[in-house]
Amino acid sequence: MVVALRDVTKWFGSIQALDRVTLSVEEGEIVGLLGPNGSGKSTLLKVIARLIPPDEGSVVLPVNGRLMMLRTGMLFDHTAHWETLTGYENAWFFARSYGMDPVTAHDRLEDLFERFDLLERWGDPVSSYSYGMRRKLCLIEALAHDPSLILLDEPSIGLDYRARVNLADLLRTAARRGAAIILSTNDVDEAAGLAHRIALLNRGRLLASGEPSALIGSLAAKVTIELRLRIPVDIRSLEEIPGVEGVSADEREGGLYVTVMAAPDESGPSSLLARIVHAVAARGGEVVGADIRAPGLPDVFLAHMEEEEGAP
Amino acid sequence: MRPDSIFQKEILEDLRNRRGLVLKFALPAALLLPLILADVPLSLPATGITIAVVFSGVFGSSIGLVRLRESGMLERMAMLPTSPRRLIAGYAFANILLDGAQLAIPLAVFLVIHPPAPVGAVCVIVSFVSAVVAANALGILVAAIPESSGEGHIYAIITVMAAIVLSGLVAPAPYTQWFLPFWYLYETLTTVSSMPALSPILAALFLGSALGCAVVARKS
Repeated sequence: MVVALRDVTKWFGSIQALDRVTLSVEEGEIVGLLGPNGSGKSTLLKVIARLIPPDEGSVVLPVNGRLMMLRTGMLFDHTAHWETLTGYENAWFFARSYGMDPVTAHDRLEDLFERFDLLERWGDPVSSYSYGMRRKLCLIEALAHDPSLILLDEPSIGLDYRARVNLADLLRTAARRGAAIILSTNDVDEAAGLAHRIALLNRGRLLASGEPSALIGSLAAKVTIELRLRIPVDIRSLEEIPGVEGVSADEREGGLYVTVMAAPDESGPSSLLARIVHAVAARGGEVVGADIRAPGLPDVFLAHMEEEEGAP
Repeated sequence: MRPDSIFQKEILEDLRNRRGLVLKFALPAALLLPLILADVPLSLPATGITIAVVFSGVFGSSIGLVRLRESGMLERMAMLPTSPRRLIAGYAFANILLDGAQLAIPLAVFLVIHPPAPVGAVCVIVSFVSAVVAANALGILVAAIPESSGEGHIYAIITVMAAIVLSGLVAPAPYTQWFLPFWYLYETLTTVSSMPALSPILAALFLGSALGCAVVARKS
């Protein structure tokens, strides 16, 4: 175990930022902290980084002090830099401060600047950088020394698509190397695509934590399949298909639309769609369009938010 | 130069900011040289140089640190494995060096116009360095209080005013001036050609100021 938080509570005046959060992160694991604005994600990262002491509870890391800092890379939610220095000089200062020797530091920085498409601009002052370029520079500075604990606050904000893909690659490589990665995000898709485990936070409380598929499976949400038929069939016969729990039909925009509700199963919504299309064809109908709406992490997120708001 | 330390970073940043650098050197010279070259009592240029030392030291160090904190740079630096003591010491040393350099021109002209005895010259240098160190240490200490650069300016102004008044630069302050190295600088400059007796006191003061700066850096 790399990070172990137990009943961590933090108050800022009368506002409770964290409420008895218990969470652990293993080596090689990517954990996504998901939650709305002000849910305590950034505070939790800063507590783990020892920048903010918790009021109650404990944070256990394998090493502490200077050694812990040497092995930690953190991306903050701001892009503070020394504006008159170049991007390379800023990154160089951080790389050298993390104890990298000059040759390794230069090679590693060159590689990272190239990965993030900043190599052509590394000799320019940071004051001439756009917001996205500054975010990339922050990422380079956080990752250059190959940290074994990576804390990222909203890493994909301001990044172009290519940089997001490269970042995901870098993080997966770091995780394979054994790094523990905790990233906070508002982007549900990013969390679902990258994280091995999701921790849902709201109002400082940890609502749920687990693998994305397990969290989705815990939902009682149905798979909804909407079919557009050119040749109609008796829709009641579709209810006989295993897994189908309800069928309804309506005519709009000059077409016949059939909506099929089904419980999610292990074979997945695509397999269910294939069974339904096959059944429609077998009954003499013809499908000209289909749309699947399967429950995903956004539904898990919204369901927990609604549950929390309904709670006293 | 690639910055390997906070000291090198500070120097490089100052060298890159050409306009700021020219202002840093030109402004004290423009304000102090007419006073030094004018036919006025020695106490006036001595007061001017001492106030400039207090002002540049306190303002430069405190506002710089407050801005670093406000931008989030201090938070980023807190994640570095470098000790805060070392970071603050590097920051202070760079600022002391730059303050010393920017005020060295008016001071040199002053010493040319009012040539001191050899021991007097040593006393001036020691008391000057001592005052620059103390002003920067004061600036770093003051930077711990404000939460924004706006507040930082107010605290810096209050500190500068207090240092000037308590050092007896406006009117004699017999109960406090002895504790501040700025008064010793003023005294050294005004008695520059006939004060060898003060040199041991100033040397001790210089060491005391350096020690004080180290303590402040450690606490920061």
